[in-house]
Amino acid sequence: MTEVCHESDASGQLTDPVRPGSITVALVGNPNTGKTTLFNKLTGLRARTANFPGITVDLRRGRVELSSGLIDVVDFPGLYSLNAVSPEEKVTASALTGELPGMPVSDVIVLVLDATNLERNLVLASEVLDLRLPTVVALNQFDAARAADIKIDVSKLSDELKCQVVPVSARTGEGLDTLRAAVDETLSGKLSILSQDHQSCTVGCTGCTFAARFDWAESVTNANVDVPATQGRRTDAIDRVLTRPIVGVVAFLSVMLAVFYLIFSLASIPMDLVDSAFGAVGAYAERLIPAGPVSPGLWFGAVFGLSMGFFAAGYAAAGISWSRTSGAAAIAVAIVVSLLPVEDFRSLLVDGVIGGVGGVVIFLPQICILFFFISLLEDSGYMARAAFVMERLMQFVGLPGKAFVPMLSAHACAIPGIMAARVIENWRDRLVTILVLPLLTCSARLPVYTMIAALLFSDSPFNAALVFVGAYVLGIAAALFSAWCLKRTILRGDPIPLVIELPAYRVPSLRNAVATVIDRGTVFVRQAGTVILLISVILWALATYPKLPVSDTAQAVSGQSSAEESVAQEALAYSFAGRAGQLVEPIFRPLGFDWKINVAVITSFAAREVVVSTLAIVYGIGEDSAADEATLVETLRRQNRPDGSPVFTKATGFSLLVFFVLAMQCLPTQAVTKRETGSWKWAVFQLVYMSAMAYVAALVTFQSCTALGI
Amino acid sequence: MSQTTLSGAASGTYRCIDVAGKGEQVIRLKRMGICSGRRISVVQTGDPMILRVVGARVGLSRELAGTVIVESNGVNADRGSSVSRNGDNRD
Ligand SMILES: Nc1nc2c(ncn2[C@@H]2O[C@H](COP(=O)(O)OP(=O)(O)OP(=O)(O)O)[C@@H](O)[C@H]2O)c(=O)[nH]1
Ligand SMILES: [Mg+2]
Repeated sequence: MTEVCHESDASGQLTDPVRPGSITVALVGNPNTGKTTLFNKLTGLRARTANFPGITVDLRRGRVELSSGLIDVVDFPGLYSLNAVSPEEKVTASALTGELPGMPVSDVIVLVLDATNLERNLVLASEVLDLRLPTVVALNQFDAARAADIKIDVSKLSDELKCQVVPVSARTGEGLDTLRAAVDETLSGKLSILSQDHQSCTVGCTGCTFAARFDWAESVTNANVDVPATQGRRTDAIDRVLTRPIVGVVAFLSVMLAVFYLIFSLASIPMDLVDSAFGAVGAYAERLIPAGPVSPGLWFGAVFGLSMGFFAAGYAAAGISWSRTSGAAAIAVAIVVSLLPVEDFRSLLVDGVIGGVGGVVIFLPQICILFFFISLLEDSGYMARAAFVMERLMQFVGLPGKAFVPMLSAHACAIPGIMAARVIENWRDRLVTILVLPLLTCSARLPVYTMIAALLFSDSPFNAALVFVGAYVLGIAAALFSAWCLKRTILRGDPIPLVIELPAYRVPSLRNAVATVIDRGTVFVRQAGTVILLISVILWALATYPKLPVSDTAQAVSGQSSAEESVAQEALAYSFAGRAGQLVEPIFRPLGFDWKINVAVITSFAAREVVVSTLAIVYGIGEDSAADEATLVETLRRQNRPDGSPVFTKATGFSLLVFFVLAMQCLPTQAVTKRETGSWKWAVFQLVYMSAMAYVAALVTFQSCTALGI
Repeated sequence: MSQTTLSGAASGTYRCIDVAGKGEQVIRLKRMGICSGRRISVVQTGDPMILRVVGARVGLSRELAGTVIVESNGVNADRGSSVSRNGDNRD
């Protein structure tokens, strides 16, 4: 199972290498004990997600100031036992035993235990203590334990565990100074914990080591902890409602409905802002570039400098180091860009670069808002209940209940959905979920659906609404069907039966939510953003070159009334993208597409919403009027094929709709798939299977519509 | 005292005798505390069901519950009695 995620480039370099010789402290503990909260409290919000080659697990790394100097703190994923099962747990376990490539064993382990449920936490503790690494126990959530009237004899516990035990509260900050001091002391070797064995040793116990460790945990707890009988009553009472089979599902769907309402109502404001901001920046840049002749030397110098600056920023963001190859590539591209004619440079800057950056940033509001709510729900303990109640329904397609939230999220945008799929502990199930998520209707498809619905049924709002519903249903059905198929073919595996801890309900932490949002946002911008930008520029070049010869431009202008639009139309037809559209015409003809639609399909590979503006250009209406839907739809309706029949018949409309529901046309999603699965292989697979499915489905749609005379 | 599996168990308290599953599934159960010697309370029946074990609530599918062999504790035994039987046989 791990082979799958270890497959990718294991020889690569760390993008964020552990500084040689730097001292690291690892936060380790059961899930939900408060490691991340403690990490956030210790390091502030300046932590960074470090990426390791060959693993798809994010480790957050930050700095903390101790008297022995600045040290690195790493927040490891939670685990129940060193007998790890999920990819995340395997990373933590292998880091502790020194088997994680590129990651030396930490100098000090801070074992984070949950004081409100010590007995359970002591099982992992006994395993970690058996490793005999320098360890400090942080007895976290001490505030909550005190409030619940749980009494722990800390010094006796410390004697029993043979290591320092510091009661702390990551929430309130209580005890953190003592914890820092204890880490300091351990670092300077004042505490000799290595010499003594603690008592959990399994030697001499027959049978299962877990049983022995649980026995030990129970005896230690009985001797040192006094838990009142009322412990957990409140959680029990809430769960009596929220985990009921039907009530639980209804409650969960209501919660998610509310979250989605908030996402759609909140995200549109920053998204419009981003849109108009990038439009304004583009217009400003356009004005800034001199129209008249400039000194070639000055121009070359300025543009070369600008390009190199851009590369420096991009490399820094993507974590690419300046080697001979990467440096040469940057210089070569900068020289080419500096030699471009002024006109082309303007177009590159405005349409390629600024448009590309805008295309990355536009996703941020939805990613941030979705992760804000997911973090709150997870912190509160509710997410585990959601997985619990959805388990039975999801098992029909062979996926776990935990796949439901990512699938729901994908209806806003596939990217946060894919990023949220990490909660699925089984790697195969996670991969299947990631692969099918882009089939679900994301908000970027809505402008396309709107256009097609208007094309098909502008006279009947009811039928247009049916088109929308049908498209959503088709997306869901295709995703579930693909998941079902994948689980039975290349990712064959028995469904993993549910075992899930339902943690106590807690008031979620706003600070953790903000940290999650910052973290997910930067991961997206740094790692997906640079790839997206690169491909946006390539697509720009494909749609721009080769340029229309000047004589043809003049001809186009003289022949038509609306000069500018027809130049754009001719230029696009003459470019690589336009030629490719004509080249593939035989392939797409059975789907009812003409070459102009093909051009739109090709250019919308990077982002499907581009199809609307591309259609506006290829049909000679001009990009600006794409916003005016009525004009666009009217013009599209009037288009005829060479034989005089209309292009956009109902059959073509349906076929186009089906194609856009199923096709993988979103570069940012592909970049995120690559990141989360650790290799381009799965991103390419996703592209290929979705495109094939889109092609076949659109073919069937067109042919059967034509046969039925629709 | 009768032995059954957890899949058909009614609400109440049991003691785990053994886990009869295979491979990784056994580890997933055991590290959660569904492991011989532990006291397990069935809090909610159904599929999946909810247990209380080692101080936490655990959701468990019926399929896996079928691999967990338990012994009915008769009258709900309190904490102490199950410990003494399994005792600290170390040292
Ligand atoms: N009352 C209280 N709650 C805390 C404390 N520390 C953490 N929590 C809460 O415990 C829950 C889990 O905290 P996290 O920091 O996400 O736990 P984690 O150990 O990182 O969990 P995983 O990443 O899943 O392993 C959250 O709801 C926190 O707000 C604390 O000291 N006191
Ligand atoms: Mg965490």
